[in-house]
Parts: sequence; C-alpha cells; structure tokens
Amino acid sequence: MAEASAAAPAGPGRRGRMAGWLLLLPLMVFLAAAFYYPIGYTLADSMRGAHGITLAHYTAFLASSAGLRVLELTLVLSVAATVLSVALSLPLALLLRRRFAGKGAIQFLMMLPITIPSLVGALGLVILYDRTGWLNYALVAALHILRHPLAIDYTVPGIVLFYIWMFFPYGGLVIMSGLGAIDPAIEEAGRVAGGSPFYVFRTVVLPLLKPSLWAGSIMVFLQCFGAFSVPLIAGGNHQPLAVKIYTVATVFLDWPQASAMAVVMGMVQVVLVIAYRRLDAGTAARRAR
Amino acid sequence: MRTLARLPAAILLTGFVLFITLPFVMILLEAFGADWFGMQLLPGVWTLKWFRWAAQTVDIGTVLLNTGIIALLATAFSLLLSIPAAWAIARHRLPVKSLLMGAILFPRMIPEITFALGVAKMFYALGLANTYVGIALSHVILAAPFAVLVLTSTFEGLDSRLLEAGAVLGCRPAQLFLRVILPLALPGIVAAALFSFLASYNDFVLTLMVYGPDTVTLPVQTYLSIGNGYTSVASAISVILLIPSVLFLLGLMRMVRPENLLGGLKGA
Repeated sequence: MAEASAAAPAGPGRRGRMAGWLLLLPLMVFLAAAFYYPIGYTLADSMRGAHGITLAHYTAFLASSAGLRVLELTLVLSVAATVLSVALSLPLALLLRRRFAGKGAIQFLMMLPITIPSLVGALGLVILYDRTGWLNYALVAALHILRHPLAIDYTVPGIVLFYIWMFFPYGGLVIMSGLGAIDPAIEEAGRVAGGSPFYVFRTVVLPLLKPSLWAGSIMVFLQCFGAFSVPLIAGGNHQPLAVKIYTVATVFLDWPQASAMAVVMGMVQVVLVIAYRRLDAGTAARRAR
Repeated sequence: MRTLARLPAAILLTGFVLFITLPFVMILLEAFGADWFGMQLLPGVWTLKWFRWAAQTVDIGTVLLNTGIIALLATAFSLLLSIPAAWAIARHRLPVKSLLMGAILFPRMIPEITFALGVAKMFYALGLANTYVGIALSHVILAAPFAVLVLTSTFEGLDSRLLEAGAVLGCRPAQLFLRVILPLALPGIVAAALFSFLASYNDFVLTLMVYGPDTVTLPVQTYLSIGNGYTSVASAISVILLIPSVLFLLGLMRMVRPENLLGGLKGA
C-alpha cells in the first residue's frame, strides 16, 4: 500500500480536499445525470399506475406463471452454465499453473470470448452447432456415430453450452488468481508428509481454494443472469430475463412492466455483487499475508 | 508415469482450443466462402462477395465511420471525465473513498439492459438519441468507470518526490501536469483510452436502445443482418468488428496479467 508520504495531497488540508471534490465533480454530475437519474426513472416507472403508486407490475411479473417461467428459465440456464463453467475452469487453471510451450496462446484464447463483442461469438456458435454445422458433420457425415443431426441451436442445453463458451473465462480468471494466492510451500509440505498428489489436492488445495471457487461461480452466474446478446441471437423461443425486458419494452411497448422486471434483475445482481466482493476481499487478504 | 499423466492434460487442452477457436473458424468460412449448403465440410467457392454485399447493401463504409467517430468521441469524453476524477481519488485525501469508488463502478456491476431502458427514455426526450454525441455519451457510462479504475492505480503509483521537485523548480500546475505527470502516467492513460475505445466500439445493448437510421454501428448492423437472415453478410461484418478486439488483446497481454483484467471486460 502507498505510504502516507507517497500519497501526499496536491495541496495540504482543506484547500486540497476542496480541489479534490472539484476535480471529481464533472464525472459525478455525468453519472448522476446519465446513469443514476435513468435508474431512478426506471424505478419510478415500474411503480407507475393509473391512480398513483402501484406494485401491480411486480405482482404481474412475480406472481404470474408466465413471469415465473421466465425467471425459472433464466435461473436454470445460469446455474447449469455456472456449474459446468467452474468444472471446466478448475482443471484448466490447475494446468495453467505449470509452464509449458503454448501457455501464452492458451491464456490468449481464454481471454478471447470476453474481449470480443458477444454478438460475434453468438453468431459463430450458432453456425458451428447448426444442424448442418461442423459438430453434426463430424458426428453424422464423417464419423457415422449418429444417424440424425443433433438439435443444439435454439434449445436450452444449446444456450447453456453457448453461455459456457462466452462466460467461463470470468470464473477461470478468478480461480487462476485464487490458485496463485496459495503458497506452494503448503502443498509441498503435504507431499513431503507422504500425501499423494490427489490427496494433497483434496485436503489442502481445495479447502483453500473454496472462496475463489465461490467467487468465480458468482462472477459467471452474474454474467449468465445478465446475458443478452447470446439468447437474443441463439435463444429462439427461449427468452431469459434480459431478452424478455427488451421485448416487453420495444415490442409490447409496456415500459412500466419492463421497468419492474429490470428492477428485479438489478436487485439480484446487486446482492450477488456484494457477496462476490466479500469473498474476493477474503482472497485478497490471504494473498497479502 | 509422467507421460501417462500428460495424456489427459493434452486431451483437455486440445478440446479447449477447439471449443474456443471453432466458432471463429466458422465466421471466417462463412465470410469468405459461398455455396456452403447442407452437410459440407467447406464452402464450395471462396469469394469476397459478402464484403462487397456489405459495402453495397448495408453501406458498411458509413457504418464503420459511425462506429469509429462514436468510439473516438466516447474515448475523449471518458478521458476528460476520468483523468481529473482519478487524480482526486488517488492524490487528494477524500473521505468516504471506497463509497465514492463504489458509486463510480456501479454501472459496471449491473446488466446494461437494467439501465438502458431509462437511458433510452431520457435520451429520446432530450433529442440525444440517433446522434453521435448521444450514443457516445451512453457508452461513457460504461467506459469512464473503468478508466477511473485504471487511472487511479496509475496516479497512486506516481512518485511524489518527482512532483515536489517539479514544484520546487517553479513549475506552474499546468506545466507540472504536461511536463511531469503526463509523461509518467502515459501508459495508464493509453490503457484507459484503449479500454474506453473498445468498450464503445463493441457496445451493443445501449446502442440498440438509442441508435437511429443515421447512427447504425457495426454491432447493431451485425444484429440487423443476422435478423434479416444474411448470415454471410453478418459474418463479413463480424470479421471487421473483431479486428480491434483481437489487436487489443494481443497488445494488452504484453502489459497486464490476465487475472487483473476482470473489471475491464464485460460482455452482455
């Protein structure tokens, strides 16, 4: 951390602090106008009824079978993709601890899905897993494993697969950084004491990694829960929350209803972000020790 | 024993590489190939006609120009707002610093669609929708918070003795900023600028809510082309759309450890 002398204020005392607030002002005014005001507006819109304030838009969403189906679909997609993403990330992160030729290329590929526009990823995935795409070409035409092509695009398992492709790096990166924070000496001690590599992993590494696994899971879940481009392009009739908000607003033009759904979505995200920051703070503290 | 243990690792890595890269291969094949019907491994013909189509039917030149102008505007706005703010957070002892940082980073913590509705309503009311400045401003909501994050750590890392030396030697504040701070903080400022540019260039959700006929951007045009069933044209546009992201990532991996990038990249 910066010492007091290294973080010396530009001007001492109250004048320096005053100048600090002035420097901060333009950004804060911008965010207040372009972000916080629209959020407040959305909140107000979600409770706007014909006769004053109403919660009808929330009950219409949370207490209707159609609304619950949307929530259920969103949760099923997100949970499945999260569990599978972490299952993929863990062995990969363990492998990436070693040095080997091409490690940089693997890391590059790991970052690629979250750097490119999601839309492009979704397009490539839809082409690849199409009924006549390469996967089905391999299974049906080349290897003759199946007689009929698999339907993957526009199905729930297909969307889960696409979410994993798109969002697993978020979990992978958190888990990689968690593994980096574990002192190799602890593992070595376990191995010297006669534990097999798997035993040491299960009893020493895994418990220490638990907070990172949770933090990584939340990170992936957040992305899946908020996913828009992938289900918009590759979801077909399956519309999870983000897409539903968009359609309710722009197709059905029911802005109060869409606003209520957006508020629910925002709240879920905020709760999960707070949980993530707690877990992350724990990892950071251990790293500093 | 060792070679036996390597086999699963090799399988995992090969599978991983195919899993990640094949969607990109598909986009390239779709963009540069034609007569690719039914169960065929490769397109029948290699051609540039989809790029010509993109130029003629959807005026991709104008779309690219729109995207570039908006991204440059967004980068400029983002830096103008975030440089002073990050300086204040890093060098002035402000109270409630973590609360301030939380308030600044909040836009990155919730999905764009949750505030895009409100942004759209407001921008339409103010006449900012379908304007370069308006769309750029909507992108600044995402770009500026991350620029602040990058710049705060850059400014915190500056050696105060150099700043004091400059002041003692008679630098006026403006001179101090231009002659001392700017050169020292340049890598951080460049990184913040690149992140801002990319956030705007790649943005889809906010743009979708505030764009109009005069301000179609590459991601929006990709979406429109997919919606119209022109997968090949959409792929050709995607190839153009991908270039900055790939260059950016290649450059970035030389500068920063991948684990430290989490806050900067956010898909939707």
